[in-house]
Amino acid sequence: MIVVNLDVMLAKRKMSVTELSRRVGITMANISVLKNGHARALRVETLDKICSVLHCQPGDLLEYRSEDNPESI
Amino acid sequence: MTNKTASRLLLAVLIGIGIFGLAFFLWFVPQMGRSVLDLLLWDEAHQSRYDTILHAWLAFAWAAAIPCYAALALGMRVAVRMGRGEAFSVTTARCIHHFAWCAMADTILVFAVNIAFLAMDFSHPAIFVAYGLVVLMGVGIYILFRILANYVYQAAKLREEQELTI
Repeated sequence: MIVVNLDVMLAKRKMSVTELSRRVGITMANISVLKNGHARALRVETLDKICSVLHCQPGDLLEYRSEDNPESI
Repeated sequence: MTNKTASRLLLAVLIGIGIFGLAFFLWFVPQMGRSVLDLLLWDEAHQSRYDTILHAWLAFAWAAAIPCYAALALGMRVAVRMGRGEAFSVTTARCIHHFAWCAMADTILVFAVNIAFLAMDFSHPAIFVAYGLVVLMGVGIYILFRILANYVYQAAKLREEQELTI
């Protein structure tokens, strides 16, 4: 499964969810869906905006975890 | 036309059908039956038999009204959901699916009762043939609404996918 490490990156950049929502231009509800892992799909355009605002790579945000061992790859 | 306007129009039509349906089943059908019976008054020897036939037809008409009113209630539920902008949802698809089954229940009832009435000599072959058209229409409504339910279900799934795409 793909885990979105948005919380980790926000903490590293000392940025609030509200600020990210405002700067990326997506609703708080959608950020919450993304953070909680309920999203079915992530647009490349959205990923591009988040990476641009958080100054990070897609790999810093997305992580693959095995279903058998969710803690590690 | 906005969702709210469409919903209000549909609700008004459904309420109208409900009220006129009540008048039809509770006033028009019994009155018509009595009028037909009055025309047959000259045949006093068979009066009690005609009374039985009238009551059997009235019972059939009222029994056939039950699935119609269940379908009407489902239609109202769909209309309310349309007004809320939830026309394409799994619940709406389920309502339409149940609507189709109401049509099928009525069709089966009409078909079975008409065969029974013909066998019991409560009906006439011409009436049986005329009801055959009603049965075909019922099957047609069932198929159409099953198809519609399937499309609404697929649209609901697409909408869900779209809503969860960030």
